[in-house]
Amino acid sequence: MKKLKGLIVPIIIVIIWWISTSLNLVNAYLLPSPGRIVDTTLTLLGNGLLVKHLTASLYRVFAGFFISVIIAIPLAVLVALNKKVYDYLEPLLEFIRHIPPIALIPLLILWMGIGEAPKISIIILATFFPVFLNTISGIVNSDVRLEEVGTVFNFSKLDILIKIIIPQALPSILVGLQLGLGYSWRSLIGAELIAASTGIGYMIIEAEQLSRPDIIIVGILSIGLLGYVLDGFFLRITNKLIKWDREKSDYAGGFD
Amino acid sequence: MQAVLIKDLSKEYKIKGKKVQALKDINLQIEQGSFVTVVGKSGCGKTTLLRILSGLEDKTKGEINFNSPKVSIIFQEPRLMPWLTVKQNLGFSLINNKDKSATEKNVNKYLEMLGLTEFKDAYPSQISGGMAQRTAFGRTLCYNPDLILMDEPLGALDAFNRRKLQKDLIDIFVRNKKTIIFVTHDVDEAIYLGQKIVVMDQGRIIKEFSVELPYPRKTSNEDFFKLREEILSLILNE
Repeated sequence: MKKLKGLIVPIIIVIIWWISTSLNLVNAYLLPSPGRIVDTTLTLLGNGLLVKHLTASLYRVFAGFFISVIIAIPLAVLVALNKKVYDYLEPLLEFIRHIPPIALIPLLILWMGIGEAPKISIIILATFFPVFLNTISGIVNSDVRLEEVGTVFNFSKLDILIKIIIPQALPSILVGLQLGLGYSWRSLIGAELIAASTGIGYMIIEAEQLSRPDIIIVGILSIGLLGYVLDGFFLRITNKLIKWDREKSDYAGGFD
Repeated sequence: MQAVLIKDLSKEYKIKGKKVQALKDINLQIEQGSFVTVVGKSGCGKTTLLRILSGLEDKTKGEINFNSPKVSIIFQEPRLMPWLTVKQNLGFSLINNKDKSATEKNVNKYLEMLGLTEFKDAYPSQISGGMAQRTAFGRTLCYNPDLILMDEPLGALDAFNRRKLQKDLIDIFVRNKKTIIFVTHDVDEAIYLGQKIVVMDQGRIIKEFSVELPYPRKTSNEDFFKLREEILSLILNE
């Protein structure tokens, strides 16, 4: 029912859009009709262009996201458990955090050329901070009283980290990953708009040069749809991993 | 045979540069297999004593000799791992045990003994406070310590759950013959449970009592009543 409710507004928008274009209330060159968009989508699917660009974009997102996660999480654990390390890194991290990754594109192209490396580097930078900061927050805010339980049972420091601290930090880490995935998708399109020969961003900028607003709209819709699907998929995994955190509201109060 | 021998134990804290004496020259001998209750007002040092005995805090001076190598503590709050079910929490201390079937058997035994079998798959957020504390008891029993320290473990429960768990505790004690040091601010609870009662005030032990009354004890018993009055007047300096 909830999902159906969420469809009402988009359907209304499409109907208004369809009526506006059918009655020539808007310039069809600037805003093609929904029917034209469907036709263009089918054509782009048929000649394989849409799949080719989507695959290129997805590859960059996953590669950048994965590299970023394997750097950000261990570094965050190290920093969260050792305040002295954070004292050394904090100014540099705060400095980098305030630079929009897209601002680095010219420099990265200069250093790395126009291949995959600068685009993936942008995604690494965009994903890093939400994952890093949320992991730190999850670990720093873990309940010391639960750590004492591990101490009492003679757990090693590594056991306390793996069996008590990380599970507590997991909801926060997953929020960071979810945010990071969203950021990586947004920054990728930015990178592809500037320097690429494949990818959804490139498809959009090329369509602009060819005066094809229908392809631009197909590109925009593809980005939104893919982001929505990826987020939904991620949410499902998250719900399974932290079932205990998600279920508590249903049973609050227990059996007293 | 002694389970624990404490000699001249003292503990000092510094709060905003000021020294606070939490424990002063504590001398205490605890026999193997005995149930000792420590009673006193809030801030008298009883929790500090348990935290030092459990190794969670360092002493400032003195000596503690354990005859029982395996020590565990049950806290006032259950401190269950929220991401684990009741059954997984019971087996938490044995998480590194390679003999999984022995762990399973052990966990099932205490699930049954503590009446938790029906809720074994529930998460801590889905059970009542009484059940959560029962799970914490089970977790400690699965660990099988020689000495169990209890820091007001029934303090947050309602009167009915409290009475039920007091009875269960005596049952567990009689069955398992563990050495128990139980801290409480409730004089009735101290007499109801303890074979020896240690009264503390301002970081010192002011008196020890032996309780010869057989289990289960009745609060209406005349000796129970006399002892309660004596301990209360000691604590309240009347």
